[in-house]
Amino acid sequence: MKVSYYPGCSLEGTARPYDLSTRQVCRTLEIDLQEAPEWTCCGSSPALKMNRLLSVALSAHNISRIEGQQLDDVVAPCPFCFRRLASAQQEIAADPELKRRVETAIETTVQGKLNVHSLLGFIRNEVGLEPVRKKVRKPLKGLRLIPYYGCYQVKPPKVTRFDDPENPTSLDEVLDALGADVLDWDFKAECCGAGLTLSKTEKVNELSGRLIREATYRGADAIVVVCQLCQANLDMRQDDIGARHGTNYSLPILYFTELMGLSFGLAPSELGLDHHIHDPLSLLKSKGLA
Amino acid sequence: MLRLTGKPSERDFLNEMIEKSGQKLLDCLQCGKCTGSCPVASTETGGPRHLIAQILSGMKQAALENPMWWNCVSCGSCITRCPVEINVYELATALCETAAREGVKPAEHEIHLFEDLFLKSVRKYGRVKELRTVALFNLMTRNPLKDMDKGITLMKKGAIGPFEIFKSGKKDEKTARIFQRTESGGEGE
Amino acid sequence: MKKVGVYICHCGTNIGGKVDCERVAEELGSEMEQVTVSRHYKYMCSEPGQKMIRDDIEELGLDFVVEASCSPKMHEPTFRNAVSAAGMNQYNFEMVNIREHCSWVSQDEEAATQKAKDLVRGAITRVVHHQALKGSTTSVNPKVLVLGAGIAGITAALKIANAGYQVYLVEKEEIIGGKMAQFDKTFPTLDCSGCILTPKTSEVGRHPKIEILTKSEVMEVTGFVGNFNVRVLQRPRYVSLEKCTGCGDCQEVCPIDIPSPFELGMTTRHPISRSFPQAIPNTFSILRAGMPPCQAACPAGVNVQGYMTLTGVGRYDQALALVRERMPFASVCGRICVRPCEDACKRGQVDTPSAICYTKRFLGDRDRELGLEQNPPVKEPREVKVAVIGSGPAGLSAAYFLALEGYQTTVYEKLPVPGGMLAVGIPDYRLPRDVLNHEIDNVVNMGVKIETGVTFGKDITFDSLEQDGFKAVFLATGLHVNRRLNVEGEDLDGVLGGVEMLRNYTLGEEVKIGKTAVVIGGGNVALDVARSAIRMGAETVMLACLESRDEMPAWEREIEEGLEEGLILHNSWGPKRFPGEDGKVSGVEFKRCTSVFDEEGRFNPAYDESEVMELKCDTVLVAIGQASESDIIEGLGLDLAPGGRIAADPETLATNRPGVFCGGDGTLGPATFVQAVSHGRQAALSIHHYLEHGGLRPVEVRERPVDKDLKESEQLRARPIERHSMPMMPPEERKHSFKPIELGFTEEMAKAEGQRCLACGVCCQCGECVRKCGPQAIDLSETEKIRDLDVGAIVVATGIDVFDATRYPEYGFGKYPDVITNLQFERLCNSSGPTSGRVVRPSNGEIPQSVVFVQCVGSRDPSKGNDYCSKVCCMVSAKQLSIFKHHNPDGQAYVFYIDNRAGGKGYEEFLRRAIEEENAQYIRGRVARVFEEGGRLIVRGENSLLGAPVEVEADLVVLATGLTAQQDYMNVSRALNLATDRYGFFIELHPKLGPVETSLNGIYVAGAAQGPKDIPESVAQGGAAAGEVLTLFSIGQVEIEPTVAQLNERLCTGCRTCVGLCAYDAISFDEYGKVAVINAALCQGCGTCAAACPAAAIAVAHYTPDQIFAQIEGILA
Repeated sequence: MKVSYYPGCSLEGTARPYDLSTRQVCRTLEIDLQEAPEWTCCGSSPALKMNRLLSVALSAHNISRIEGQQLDDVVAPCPFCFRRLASAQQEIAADPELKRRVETAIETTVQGKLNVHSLLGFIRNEVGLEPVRKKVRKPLKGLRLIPYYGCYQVKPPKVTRFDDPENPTSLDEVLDALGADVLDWDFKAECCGAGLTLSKTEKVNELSGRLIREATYRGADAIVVVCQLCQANLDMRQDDIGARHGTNYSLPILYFTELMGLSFGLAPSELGLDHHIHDPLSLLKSKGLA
Repeated sequence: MLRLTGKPSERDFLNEMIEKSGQKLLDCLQCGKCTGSCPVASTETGGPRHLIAQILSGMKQAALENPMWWNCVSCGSCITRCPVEINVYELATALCETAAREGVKPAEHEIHLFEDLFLKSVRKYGRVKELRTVALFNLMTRNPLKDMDKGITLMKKGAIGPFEIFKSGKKDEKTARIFQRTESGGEGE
Repeated sequence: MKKVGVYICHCGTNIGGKVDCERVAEELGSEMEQVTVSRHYKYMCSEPGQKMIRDDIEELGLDFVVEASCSPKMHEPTFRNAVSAAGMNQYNFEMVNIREHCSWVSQDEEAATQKAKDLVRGAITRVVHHQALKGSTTSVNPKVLVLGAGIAGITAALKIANAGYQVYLVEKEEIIGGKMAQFDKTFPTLDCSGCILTPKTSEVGRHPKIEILTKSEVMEVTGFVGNFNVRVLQRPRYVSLEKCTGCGDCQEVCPIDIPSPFELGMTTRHPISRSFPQAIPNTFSILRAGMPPCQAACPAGVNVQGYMTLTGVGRYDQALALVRERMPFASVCGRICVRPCEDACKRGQVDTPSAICYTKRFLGDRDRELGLEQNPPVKEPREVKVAVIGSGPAGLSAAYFLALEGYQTTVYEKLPVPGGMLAVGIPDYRLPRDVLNHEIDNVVNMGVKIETGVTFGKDITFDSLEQDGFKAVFLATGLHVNRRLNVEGEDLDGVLGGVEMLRNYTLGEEVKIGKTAVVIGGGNVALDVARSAIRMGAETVMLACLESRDEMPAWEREIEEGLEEGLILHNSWGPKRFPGEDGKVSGVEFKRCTSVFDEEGRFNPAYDESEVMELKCDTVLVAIGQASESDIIEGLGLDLAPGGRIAADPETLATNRPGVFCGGDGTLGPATFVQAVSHGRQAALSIHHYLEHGGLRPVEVRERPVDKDLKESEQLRARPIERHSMPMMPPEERKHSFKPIELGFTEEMAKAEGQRCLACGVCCQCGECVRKCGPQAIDLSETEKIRDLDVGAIVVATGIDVFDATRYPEYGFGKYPDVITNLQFERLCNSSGPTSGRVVRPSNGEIPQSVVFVQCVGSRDPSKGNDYCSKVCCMVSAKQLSIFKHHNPDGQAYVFYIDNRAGGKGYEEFLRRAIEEENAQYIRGRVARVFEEGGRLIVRGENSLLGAPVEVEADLVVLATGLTAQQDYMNVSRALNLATDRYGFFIELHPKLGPVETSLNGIYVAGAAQGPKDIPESVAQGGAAAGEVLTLFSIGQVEIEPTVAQLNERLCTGCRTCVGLCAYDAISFDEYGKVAVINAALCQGCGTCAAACPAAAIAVAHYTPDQIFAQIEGILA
């Protein structure tokens, strides 16, 4: 299976483990990731808020790059990048005038017929659970994982067209296929504070704090994420949150791809598992997984 | 105090926001399900319902100075649950653009600053240089050591290179042009 | 020159505000010479206005009147009465709508006036072509059908019945009373719902003029006002209303529990039950959900759910009797069946299927060990003799079922032992002889004679049988001849046929098996042969077949067991030749088989000759399928089907020779044991028909639809019990003897398996209640009935449904037991409810301290398709929180609301009391989500008066679910062709002036079926509908509008175009006159036929072409 791959800025910055593990896992699953040439940032939430035209234009630019690859599908691990790509296509399809202005801005035309997938969506729905199961060499037995989807992966459903935004199950199913004990909770798609991490750190501590507390209460060994922003907030802010709650958390925050790789029998270092603030390795060792 | 006179102009701002955001604000039931769903809503920042109430009653200045939409992280919870499917992050864009055009001072200085630095970085390099942006932000908010501990931990683990902050990367003219054109409304120079 | 009077109405400012009525009146008055008088007036519909018209008609002798005002829907009757009061025929009147068509739809006064003028001119030019028409009348059938027995329907029914007219009260559910029967108390008076309803329901129950039809639905309505024919589908109650005394003994013995629909799943009920002690009808009734998948999938149609359930409660004798109603050989079947039932078992979708087959085996074995003989009762012996040829499963079961019918049955068997393949084809380790023989003896004990060693075609023939007085013969000779490979060396010494080998071995004849054996074939027989060879001492047994491992037709379990016993598989090899040394086989040469089936999936093996291998061996056992003894078959003079089998009608199993039937492998080709048994039973029934009625009739459909989708209710019934696996003899021991390898279930195991059943059919028809019922009121064979009712009027009071709260996943309904709907809360409060009136948390039975009421769940929510306000919920929650406070005075109630709607007598006061006296905290804001955090239920929403989110810790969350149209509103709408709005609520004739009438004469709507209503409103509407019906009845006859289609017979070409088009079946065809015939009584004057008639032979009175063209010309003038 050959698809276009749009990593997005973070995955070549602070979220290298996500990029690393994604590439490893896809290799194992015989998915040929073709990185989009000369892709640019999607503008993320700043562009989305400050200048709609810019926001659509940046994604449209990337879409035109991807269309240059002659592939029907594009996969974006970062849920925000995914949502922007998907949204941009819908917005220009719905509004010819916008399309015209965008195309003038990016000095090229776009078809807007791509199948835009989030990485999770692609693995759950396009690859499917069976092939994943088949690749499992080291089932994640006894690993109590709590799946955390965050907002952008599922909301708003009109844009993401993915799973049930109130109670998504795709990640649960993937983790289950890896043999882990998947825990249920009601914060699957509750916000972690996202881009406010620097400008409104207290807010992030409050929101992420709830997630950490509840995950701990439910007895999770680790929180599994699909978004590097969630990963950063939950991992980075955890100690301050602990202080805030007058306790001491050390909950590894792992990308689902890292766990897939692990169960496929890949080495933790190949997956960037050693690059997190709250080190998962001791936990994984205790479960005989590393 | 708000004083209404029945002049059609009272509804100008409302109509402008409906037009710009494409959101059916008149359908709003003022039920508050959005605010209940909003992660950043609070007594201080209020919530989407209150913001829409301001727009519905023509309180232009209040709406443009409302910190709520600056805090919006576009999580999409509001439109996911809204009975009339109003998308608040798209409304936020409309307000932000209008506020900028009319030179309204951002209600949330630091949020604005970060998002501004973020876009500057993208404009320059085509891709955001996260760590540079972070460092810059911390400097400009006179808090240069913020999150240094985490930075160091990550460096020790080799997750980030020690000089990454100073890494700039090659400039990207193409992206800069996209910025220019979109600022001039996409009609080119 | 005819005289026309023209009257323009201002309708206050409604028309006058836009249309210059004065100008229209004056200009038309002067411009058109037909117009004798032209006036305008503020309210023409008022008495002075009407008088104006009457006077003009009398004084000026007007011939026609044109009235321009509001919609004819509103006032045409008014003015028609006015003109006829002055002696003018009402059809010489024409009405123009210049309100909806002009003033209301235009801002431009000039345009509105111009259009009004044109329309009126058209009316004037038209009206002069009008003819005086006289409608005919027909009498009203003074009976009414009330559809829906909620409080609205009950009210209507009682009022009409008390006036002395016959009422049919048709209700979908088992009982009458509707939603009100589920309520606890009513607002704003807090009086008990039951206390005010049950007197009404019992009055209905005893009323001589009311017939209640429960579990019934209207399928079709024909006819017209005063003379409707209603076709009603009445589903079986299985319990006779007359005989049932309501004692409840049946409940005691019913082995099944299901979630009670009446209690909204908060407790269970037995399929045979009664919703509550005061229910009307006060008799029991049975819920059944059709045939369960296991039974449907079983070729023999054994009532699996029945015997599994009975086993689950330890009633083994009854269970076995149930098995033997369809399956004579429980123990045999329990050992060798291929188990289509378990493949269909829905428990398999939850975890693993129930071990149905092993349970059946337990029942059979227990019967044998205890020496009981649980058989269904045998009918009176008959003198008629029937012969069965072949004592295989097909033949024996035919004999069994013939014996049950009382026939003198003799079975002839060629071999020295009875049982056919069961005896000589299936090795002992799978089916021990004693087990088989015991069940054969059982058949013999029922009066069946078995004669072995008799060869058909030699010792006996059709003619000999006829001479011996046999009236019918069933041929079930099976397939016993080995198929040959036809490859080189097949006749060498040491090459044996698989089936023959097995047969000879069981018959005690000498069988030579060497050290190394190769079995050829991939089916179950091949496996039996191979595993027998192992037991007969062969050191190495290899099995080679064309199929790859997962293509092998043999049963996976068999293969696994074979491998355990040391069998070696060689897949995808086809035999090439058998090399031999001095006449003795020395091995098998194979070629690679690349594919077994072709594109069409037909058996058509392809080989790769280049790839070969040889297996050295001293014995070859060929088991590639069996054939029938063609030499005998062909000699019978019966028609043959392709493939050399005897041709038999699939539905009757009759051959071309009268009285001769044929079944089993002989006609099916290689089939399963259970298929053979079902064939036997089919033959028996078919023969019975033939002998009893002297004719053939198809015996049941053998393909029954298997319901596959697992319903939530079924999932809920899944008790957490793991499937038991069959205890086995260890492989090492197995290899050296033919002792049975499966050791059988213990009683505990069987019982547990029975309890794993999901009761997919709800009632399992086990018959326990039937046996228990003193007055013998229960008849499980009862079926659906069709009732045709002639009535003069219909009242539709089908009521409402409750919004499905699971459509708000963010509220956690269905996920958290302590999140309930407000209807469930009613049951919690209700003294006859699941907690006998204690308001407790469903999760742990504790009394809640903090209760949160969530308003507008499914109301005022366009995204859920329900824009409307459900009207009652605000009051319901106020009431429910008051009741809660009475139960727990220290408790705290919170209500999240958007707006409080308390319009109604005493309502606002009641709501205030909830706040002031019950100290409920009302929080203005719609709830965003209900979630669990730190083990507590949290309700989050905005307090929009504070402008910030708020979270409430809740012990119990009550969702005020909105009112919706009934889920099946479409069926009613179609049956009556009654219009609904986009929500599915029925549309009344006029929102203000015709609240209970509909656009269809004689059909009325009452209660919440027309839109959300509370009890007082529903009652009022029930009364209003009764009033309408009684008015109709007291008039006693209806005028049939003369505006119906009229046929000009001379023009009619008899093409019948119109006949097919008429939506009201008003047109028939006269075969003698060869012309269409229009029934004026049925015609609704829609005009479809007139428009469609190619010969223009049909015209609708009052809408004739000349009238219409004149109007058009007038408008365009």
